[in-house]
Amino acid sequence: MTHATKPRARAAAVAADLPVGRSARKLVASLATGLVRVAFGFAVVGAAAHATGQLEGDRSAGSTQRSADPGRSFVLRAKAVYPVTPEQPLPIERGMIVVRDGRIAAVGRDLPLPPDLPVIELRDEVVCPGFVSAGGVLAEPHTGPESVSGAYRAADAFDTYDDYAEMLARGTTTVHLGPGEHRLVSGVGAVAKLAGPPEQRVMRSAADLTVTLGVFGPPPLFEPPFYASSDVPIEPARRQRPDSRLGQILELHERISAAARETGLSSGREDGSPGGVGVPPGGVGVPPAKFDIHLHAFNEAWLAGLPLRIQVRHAADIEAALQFLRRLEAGGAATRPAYLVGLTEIERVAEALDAIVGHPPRRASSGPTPHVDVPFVIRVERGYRAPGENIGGDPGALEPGLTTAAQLARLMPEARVALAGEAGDRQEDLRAAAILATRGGLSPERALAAITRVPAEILHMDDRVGSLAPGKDADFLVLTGPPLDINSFVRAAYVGGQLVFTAPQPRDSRRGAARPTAEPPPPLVIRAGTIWVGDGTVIRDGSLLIEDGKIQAVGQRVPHPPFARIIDARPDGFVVPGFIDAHGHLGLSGDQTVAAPDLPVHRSVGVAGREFLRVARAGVTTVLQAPYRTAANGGQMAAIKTYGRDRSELVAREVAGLKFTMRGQDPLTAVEALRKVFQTARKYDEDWKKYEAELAAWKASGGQPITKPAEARESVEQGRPDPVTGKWEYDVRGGPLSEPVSGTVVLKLTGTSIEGRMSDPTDGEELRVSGTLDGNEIMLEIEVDTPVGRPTIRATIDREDHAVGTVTVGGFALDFEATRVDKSAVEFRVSRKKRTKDGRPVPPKLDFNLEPFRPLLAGKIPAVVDVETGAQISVAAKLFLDELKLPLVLLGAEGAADVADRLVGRKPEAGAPPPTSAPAPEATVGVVVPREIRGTRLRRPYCPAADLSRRGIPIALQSDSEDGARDLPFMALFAVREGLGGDAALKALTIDAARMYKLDDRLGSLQPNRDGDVLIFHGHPFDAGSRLERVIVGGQEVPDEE
Amino acid sequence: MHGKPRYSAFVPAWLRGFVVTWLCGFVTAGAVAQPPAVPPERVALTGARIIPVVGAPIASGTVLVERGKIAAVGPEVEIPYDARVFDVSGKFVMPGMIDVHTARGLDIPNESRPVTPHLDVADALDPSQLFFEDCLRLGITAVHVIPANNTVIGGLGRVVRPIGLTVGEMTIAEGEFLKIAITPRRGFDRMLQMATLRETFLELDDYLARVAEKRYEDKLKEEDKQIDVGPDEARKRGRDLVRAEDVDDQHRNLLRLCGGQVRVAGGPGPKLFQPLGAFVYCGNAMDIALAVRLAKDHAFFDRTVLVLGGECHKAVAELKQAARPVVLPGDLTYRATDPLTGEVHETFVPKKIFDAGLLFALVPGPDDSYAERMLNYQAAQCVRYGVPRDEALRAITLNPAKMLGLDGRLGSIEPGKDAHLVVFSGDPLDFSSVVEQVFIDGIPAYDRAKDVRLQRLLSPGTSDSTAKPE
Repeated sequence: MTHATKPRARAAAVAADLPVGRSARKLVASLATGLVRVAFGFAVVGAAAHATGQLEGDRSAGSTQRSADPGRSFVLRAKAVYPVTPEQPLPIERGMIVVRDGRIAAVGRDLPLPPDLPVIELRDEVVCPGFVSAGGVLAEPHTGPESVSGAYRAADAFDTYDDYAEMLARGTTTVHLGPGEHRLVSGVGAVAKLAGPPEQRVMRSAADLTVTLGVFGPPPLFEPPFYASSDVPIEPARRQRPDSRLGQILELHERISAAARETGLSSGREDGSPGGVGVPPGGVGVPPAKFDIHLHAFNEAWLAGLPLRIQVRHAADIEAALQFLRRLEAGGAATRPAYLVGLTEIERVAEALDAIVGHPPRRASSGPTPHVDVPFVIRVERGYRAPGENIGGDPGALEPGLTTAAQLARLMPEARVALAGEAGDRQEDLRAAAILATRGGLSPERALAAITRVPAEILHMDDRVGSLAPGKDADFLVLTGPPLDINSFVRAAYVGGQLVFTAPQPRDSRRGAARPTAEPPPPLVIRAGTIWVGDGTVIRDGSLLIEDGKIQAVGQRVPHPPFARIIDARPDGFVVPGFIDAHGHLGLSGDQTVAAPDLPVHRSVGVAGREFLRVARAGVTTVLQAPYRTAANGGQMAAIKTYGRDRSELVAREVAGLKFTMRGQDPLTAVEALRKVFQTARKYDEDWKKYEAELAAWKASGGQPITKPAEARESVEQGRPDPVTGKWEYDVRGGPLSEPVSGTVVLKLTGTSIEGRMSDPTDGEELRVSGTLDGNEIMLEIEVDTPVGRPTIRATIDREDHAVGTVTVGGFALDFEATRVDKSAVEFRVSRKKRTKDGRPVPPKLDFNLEPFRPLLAGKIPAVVDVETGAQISVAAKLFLDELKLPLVLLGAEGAADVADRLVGRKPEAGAPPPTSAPAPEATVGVVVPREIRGTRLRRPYCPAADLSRRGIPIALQSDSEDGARDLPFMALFAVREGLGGDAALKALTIDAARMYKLDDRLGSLQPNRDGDVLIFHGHPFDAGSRLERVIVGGQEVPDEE
Repeated sequence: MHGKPRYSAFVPAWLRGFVVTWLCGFVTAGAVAQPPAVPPERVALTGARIIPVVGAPIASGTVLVERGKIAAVGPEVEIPYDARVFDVSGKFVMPGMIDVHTARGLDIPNESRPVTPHLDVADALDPSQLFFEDCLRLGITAVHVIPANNTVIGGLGRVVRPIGLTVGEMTIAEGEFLKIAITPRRGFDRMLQMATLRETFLELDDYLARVAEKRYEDKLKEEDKQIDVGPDEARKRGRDLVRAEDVDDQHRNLLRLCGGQVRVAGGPGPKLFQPLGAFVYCGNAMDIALAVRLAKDHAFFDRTVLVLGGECHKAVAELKQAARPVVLPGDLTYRATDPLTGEVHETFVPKKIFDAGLLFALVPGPDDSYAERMLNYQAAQCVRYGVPRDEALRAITLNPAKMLGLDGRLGSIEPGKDAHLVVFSGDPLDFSSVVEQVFIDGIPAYDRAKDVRLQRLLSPGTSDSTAKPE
């Protein structure tokens, strides 16, 4: 097997290339089109420019060469292969097909992999032979007037260069071409493939002679020419076709015996085809006065022994046809193959069947009856796309129907029955025909054979198409599901080993340009024995549709969009939402930075690395990413996906929570600090709300000032001791300065942002400065607009109260040195105009340290508090639940059992997420249990997860590590072993975690409009023998191997 | 010597809609072309930038014409004292362009009967058609007039020059090609079209066989003998007795198409006629295979020119294998719509044909497209899309001459060839260049300065005044 690795990888690349190649080709084509259009206008100008230049050399290098086909040899392995051979009517699970040079070399299961061939793996798709249409779908009746002619050849009218993508999309790869069904003998039919090299498409140009019985009232053959002239003479009418069944049969016999007489007299041919009755030279046969190609060609076709394709309409036609064939055989002529077409139009199905089935035995009394083995092509598909005509109370009209094929099969088990659509109907859907026939009672195996092997046999093409067996052409279909499943689609079609059709990529029509970078993944349907939706319902034998990365529908039978992928995990498949790690550090790569509320931790996510893949494969699809350490005033958490093509797919919510720490602190001190933080935050939030209200009012009033303009507002802002805040004296030297300049700057640090003011070294005017502190790097910008832009200061605090660095003004860099002379908290007044000239309200100053508190105060994200003891939990619950009435997530909470009563009864309301319009946040609580599933409590083994869950407190699980999150399902399994119920474990990993973080509108359940994060288990996830089979994130499957 | 060139065109034919009214008055005023006289003995075009098509261009040279034939070409040509000299310094001289496939010039493009091999366009050519004037104006000096594509077997074509009062005067060469269409004519489908074609040829075989039989019977009758053999044998014995006058009009051209030699009962008979070729119209890619098979079956493949529709570029592999000359459609860009996505893909046909190494000729576009009516515009488009300049020029001059078997007479500026010369004001592939003068067989046939219709059309205000009948 090792030697096959390389080609297999190549094949994977080939398989992956298919859609890409197509889109690339499209791109090139559209580019070229655009170029052509642009170029068109300049054609002559350009030509002139070219012409006045040099004269080009001869066209020696101009000729192109057709490249050899590289794709005609490969191995294909699918979920199931339907060989449809008589020996193997059932599908081969995990079957393989070896294709060499466009022909099938081997079909089977566990074949040895040829080392030289690429392998195409189709995990969910099935393969079956290309369908063979015997119904004459491409037939357009010829316009000639003759009632009997062999001169019309259907092969002439077959466009070998056409793109039959529509028919290939329905699975038809081989068709019978008919000259029409409008004459007694319309002409010579042919058999052709719908794809492949044009010169090889026609498989047999003279395949049969088309006879149609039961067409009465033919159009008149003679029509006086419009304006007869010397050019357009009035010619005598030619013979009308027979107008009765008797006449039809008589005419046929006459023509046939005439053909037999013709044998000895074939005009202009030495080697006239033998086989007729001997005619004496110069005998009865007299060459016609006027040469008639139609008779001539009929004779030729007849004498060549072409099979007869007899199209019937009425029960009596069948009778007549069978009798006719019997007489032919009795006449001693060589056995002539024949088949009947079009049985469902007959008015009396029962009589027709009687005629067919009862025929040989019932008439056996009247002498030795030769056995007539006549195959049938039944048009069964008619009428399912549009309602049929009214038949009212006509007692003679019976439902022609679905059951014909089944009855025929039951009455004549040996009969060869093929299914087809209407003649000339390019919309023919053979798969639908077979499905309809199974509804009528035909067995699925026979129904599939009736659109593949049997029509191939009837058309005498079974040595090349119709089944998958060594030596035959590699004409097969790749379907999204079993061929006779109504929801399957043809995803690809191969003809002669060449990929001739691939399903078009879906266009994202509903969401516009939501995702400009990547094409949406194709729609995905998952079928499973059990779907654990997450809202408390469990669907048995259900299915799930994911489109554009979102779950669109879940239920017993969901819609299947065109060309949807289907993952069939019945009957043991158990589908659950993707697991959520309620507190982890995936993506931080060990970064231990202390995070303040203004640090966007989600920025650490770029391209998903290998550690993401590892976690994703374990079934954890979302991680609530928290920094390792947070500042006293909290730190952001982000919700990130573990699999996705780019950042926009990976980051589910940029700020999904604010994390605070009480762990190891005195609860009362800690809670006081937090309370202060929240007071500031609330004031900030109110300022913004007020501004927004004013702005809304201003906008509603049409831009008029609402109150007095230019009202000044003063506020006092307070600072706290820290490495930056205070008064600094600085010296600037170097650059163009002849002598050092000194001055003072007053700075104030809030979080990591700095603001303050400095005395301008030139004129002593006060200037605002603002910037950031990153570690011990100070970045400041002086808010004065000079012609060369704003000066910036970059300095490093090299020791306490001392900073050195550079001032950059335009292109100059000056040396900067500063010493803090006063580090006491500084108060300074800030005055801002409240409104601008046009009355538009002035927004409050944006504070990135306080911004994350706004969604928190609105209840859109929870406060995540790292707590340990019961006392800490109590004060946290008091602050957040009682005072602030905010959603709370307790992280760790080892002492939760002590104060469980404080928490019970506050579990989040099941169901809808908090409405966005309602301002009142909901005080909910959840516990993220410690990473050690089994701890001790009161010196006894204790599992917080199992215990809290039993007490009715919603819980979630945390990894508290990066790719350690991969073990989360096993932690849950362990918790189950400790007494947590399997369903409770599922809830803890999915919906409860999502609800705690207010993410349940996107994650945690399989309801419509949730993200397409789906795990497919074999068996219940927390049963002993279950295993995770597939992981789907955002509608895309996480690959098994790299 | 001569007072003025006599063959100048007088009335512009384009924009016929409004010109027609005063045109009638003008023509009756006696301004029709005068009969051709004996061409000047010697004509010399001096100082020209010569594009000879065969061989390198000459930056400044002389073309000397004697008795309608090119006598000498080169930078240094001695001009005889009696030559009429046209100083065309700085202008471009190229061989007359050839329209290799057109039904214009006929009163109707196609007869209403489908199979008319016995017809000859000579009977329907109208020398007074404005089309021929337009040809001069556009620099086309030879036109292969042949029945149009809406037919099964159309009839015999003819190569004419756009001057002369009678068909005889116009004729450059007798018809050598029949028109055959594979793409169904109106009211036909492909099965009927092909059946009709096969019938025509089978009927010819049958006809010849019956003629042979009749000849043998007549011979026996002359010898007062009774018929002694069956029909097949009689045909064999009679096939050498078939004479040219036994073949009627309907069958003569068909027999010529098939090589001119009688074949009856599988054996060869006498060769009665010179063979004919065929211009076979293939509007769709699928027609190529049918055309090739038909031509091979009936032994005219070596004398076949394929007239292509735009879609035929898809069959470029088959065309390459057939290696027959092709005439490209007037619309050089083919547009196809993807059946599933609805996207339109464009293909520039000449480039694909050129890349396949085929001998190809360009034809003017539809009448209502002013630019594409000009063959030099068609060639310029080819250059724009990557066909080498030389090849693009050949596609409107020498290639059509080769297809018509007239490359010994037309298509390039070489000593000994007919003096079909076009004087352009600039590079012929520059759209701002115009045809200034045209010489056909040495006759100064067109002079832009004396093109009255063009002047009236181009002079300001004429369109209003001429719209009113006088």
